[in-house]
Amino acid sequence: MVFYGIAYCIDKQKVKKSNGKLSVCNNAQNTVLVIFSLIFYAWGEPSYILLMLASITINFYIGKAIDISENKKSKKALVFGVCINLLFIAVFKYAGFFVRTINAFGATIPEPSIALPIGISFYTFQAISYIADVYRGEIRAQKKYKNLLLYIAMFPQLIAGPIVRYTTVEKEIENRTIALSDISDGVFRFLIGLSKKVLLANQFAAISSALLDGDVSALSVCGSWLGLIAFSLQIYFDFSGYSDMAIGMGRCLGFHFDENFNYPYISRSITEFWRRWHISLSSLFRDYVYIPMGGNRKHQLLNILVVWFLTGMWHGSSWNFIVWGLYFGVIILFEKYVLFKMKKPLFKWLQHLYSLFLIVFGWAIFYFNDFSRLGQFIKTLFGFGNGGFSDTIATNEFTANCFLFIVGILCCLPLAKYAKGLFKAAMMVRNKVPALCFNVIKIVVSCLLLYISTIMLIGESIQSFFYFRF
Amino acid sequence: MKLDTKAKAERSASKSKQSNNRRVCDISYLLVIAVFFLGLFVSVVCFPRSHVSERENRTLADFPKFSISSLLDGSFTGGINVFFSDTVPNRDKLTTKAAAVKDKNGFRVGGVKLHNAKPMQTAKPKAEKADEPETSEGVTEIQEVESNINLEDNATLGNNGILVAGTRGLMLFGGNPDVGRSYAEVVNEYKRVLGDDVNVYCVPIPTSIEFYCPPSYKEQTGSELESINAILGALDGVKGVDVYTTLSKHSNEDIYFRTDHHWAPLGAYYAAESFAKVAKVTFPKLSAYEKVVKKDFVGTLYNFSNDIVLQNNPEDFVYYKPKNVEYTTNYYPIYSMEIPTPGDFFFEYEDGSPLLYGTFMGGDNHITHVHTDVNNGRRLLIFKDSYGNAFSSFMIASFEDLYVVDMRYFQLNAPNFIRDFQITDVAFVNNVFHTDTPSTVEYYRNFLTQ
Repeated sequence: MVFYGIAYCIDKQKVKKSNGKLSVCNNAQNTVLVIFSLIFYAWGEPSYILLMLASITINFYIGKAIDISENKKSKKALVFGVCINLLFIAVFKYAGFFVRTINAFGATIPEPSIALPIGISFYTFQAISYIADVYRGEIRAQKKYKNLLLYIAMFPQLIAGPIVRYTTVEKEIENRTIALSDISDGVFRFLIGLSKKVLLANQFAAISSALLDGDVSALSVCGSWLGLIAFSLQIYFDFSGYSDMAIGMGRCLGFHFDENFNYPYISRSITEFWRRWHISLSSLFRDYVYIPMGGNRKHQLLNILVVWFLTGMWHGSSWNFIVWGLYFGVIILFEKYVLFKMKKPLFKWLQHLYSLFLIVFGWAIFYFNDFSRLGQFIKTLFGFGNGGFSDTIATNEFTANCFLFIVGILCCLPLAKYAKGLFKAAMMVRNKVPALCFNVIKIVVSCLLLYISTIMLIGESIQSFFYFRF
Repeated sequence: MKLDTKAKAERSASKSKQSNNRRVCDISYLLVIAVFFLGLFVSVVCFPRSHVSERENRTLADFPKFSISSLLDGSFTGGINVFFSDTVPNRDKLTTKAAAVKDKNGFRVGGVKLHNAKPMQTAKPKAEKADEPETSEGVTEIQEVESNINLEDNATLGNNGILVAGTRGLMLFGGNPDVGRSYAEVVNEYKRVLGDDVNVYCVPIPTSIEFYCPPSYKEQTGSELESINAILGALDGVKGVDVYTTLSKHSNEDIYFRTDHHWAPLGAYYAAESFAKVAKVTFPKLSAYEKVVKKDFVGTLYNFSNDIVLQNNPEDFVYYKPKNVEYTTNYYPIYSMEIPTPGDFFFEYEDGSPLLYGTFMGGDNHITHVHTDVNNGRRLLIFKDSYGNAFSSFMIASFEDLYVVDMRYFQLNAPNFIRDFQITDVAFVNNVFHTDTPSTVEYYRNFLTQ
């Protein structure tokens, strides 16, 4: 932040006047951001930084080629670019998966031992969306390599999203200002994200791991559901916590990323859930796969299944992720052709129950890479395991963490949204007292969260974010 | 017109007021957070760093050495992360605070809480190789502060988790009687190899879970009695020592620590008394020992469970030094009996040290020889785990020579050792977590031929 502050001062000296309006130059800030983004990535993944730079460089020139060429040539360039990007991801993420799949049919190809580069799914998809947008004429290709580097490698969102579209930050890359309220809101958002990760996700991870990582056939029904609910909360707070931190840091740096989560567990259908969960990914598949394939105009069924196959596959190089994606694809088809066409809709509470059940059950498919363990676990979930209905371990995990579960469930509800609304309203009134009261609460909450998160982080083995693996 | 202008002016004034409100709030918020963050940053990054965690009984991470290869493979930067997170100033105090925060996640039914508990396994464990490190899910492997102390010990063996009942920590037993029978078999093998000239004893020791487990949690732990009976029943020519019955008669005394996974010296005393009867050697009463009390002991179970209740309820570490016997103690490296290092049998630790169980011979990673003035022509070799450390202290007054060997470190050939030092009695002193672990059987089998 110190370097960024100095760069901000340098840039402020160069305020340009164009078209009669003041325009801020962000050259020095961008340089600082690029340098620190590369250091940030290299810190965790020194050898693969060259891979990321190669990917960005290729996409930079492909973008330029598409931009300057005629229609036919630009299409060829786009296809070439998409293929190159997919090749990167196929080699570095899916090579082992492909070999394992082929070997399952009797082949004996040695499995390549390629470590998964951090964030490859995120930056590759950002790059594809960039060249696709250039092809569609929605944006002009970025002329400065440094700016494209900044767009793709920007550290807050580099390794676990959200997947930022170029159109979202295009203007801010070249011309942005940082308001005091941006920094204040950004810091608060960052602290909320940090607390979600450390105080909630990590605690739920310990519970889900204690219950789900052992012999699942020996679990009781209550134990298996408790473990699965703990994992459902873990993955939400883990991933949305990271998104909050990324959005918060982005705000402090002058960028306004789109929201990636919108209280997904309050959904009343799976269709709605996917409008609220990992929004940047689902909208990416909608805009770059579903609609170009024909959307709801032609062979919609196929389009939906392809999108959900790819959504599953994006999440990991294992068949359970593909099954997980298709599971949601089938449910969405069911909703489209049956549920939403019912003359009398279900009760609201039943809609919530229906959605939550399917979402939570879906996390079981997501959690277990091994289908035999998944099968055993599903049996246990529905009372066909060896552990009976309830057991001491499940009771202990529940009583020892019941307040955590209550807090976790409350944090899934849009209570913060109401609080934010009240805060805004307090700012609007002439009387200073409500605004000051809210500010004092915000300060106390922030300090408390920062303090407790710091303490909880110390001594714990470093638990990486769940979505880093994707 | 006039009204419009007035309304506009009012709106503008209101907006300005709002924006002023917001500005004041933002500035005050950022100032407080910046000061708070700076305070945390200074206390976590700038204060002198911790080097040893007494609580976890390990030296903390060193700053990584730089090399091009370590930079490229990420181990250098990863090492820096580990260094800073591991060596936070006042680490033990802060981790205790974290444990207190975690304790607020819920409540305890009947004052009982389980940690890392797993459903009871019915499958037989596969045989392990003796030279593989002992690990188990849910238990962090810890390094040693001093190379001669191994306090991780049976916390990594057959461990089904930890139960904290009231202020007492108990390790849930996950052993298997079939492995216990294999243990008995290998002890029988010693008797066959050593012949009639050497008495061989087997002393399987129960742990605290057997006597203090709340009835409603019995299903979470295996039966140590069943395992011990399986061992004693499978002995052939070896003299079995039933310390289970002895200890069960004294279970209302402090025979086990509440916060540590070991037995207390008092429990070892009663077990040693039973052994002495079987071995037919003299055994002094407790009054013939000097009682030493160390205060505020919080043992290994706090670290294994991270349960703040144990930390908040320290106990006395009471041990006994023989008064009426003259003895000298020498320590040898685990691989040779050529170079003795004279020392005290009882090591001194301060009140409150979590390493207090290291009082006996300072730990495990050496061969101990105690020569006494007992002069009865009996020379005892003890093969043991850490339970044998406290036990050995009560053998000083009963044997002319005492050799103490830890099964996890011994590198010599056992029959040769027994012949060279004219051992008359060999005792296998292991707690039931070890007797029921395949690697223990492998260790003892290897000693016959290595």
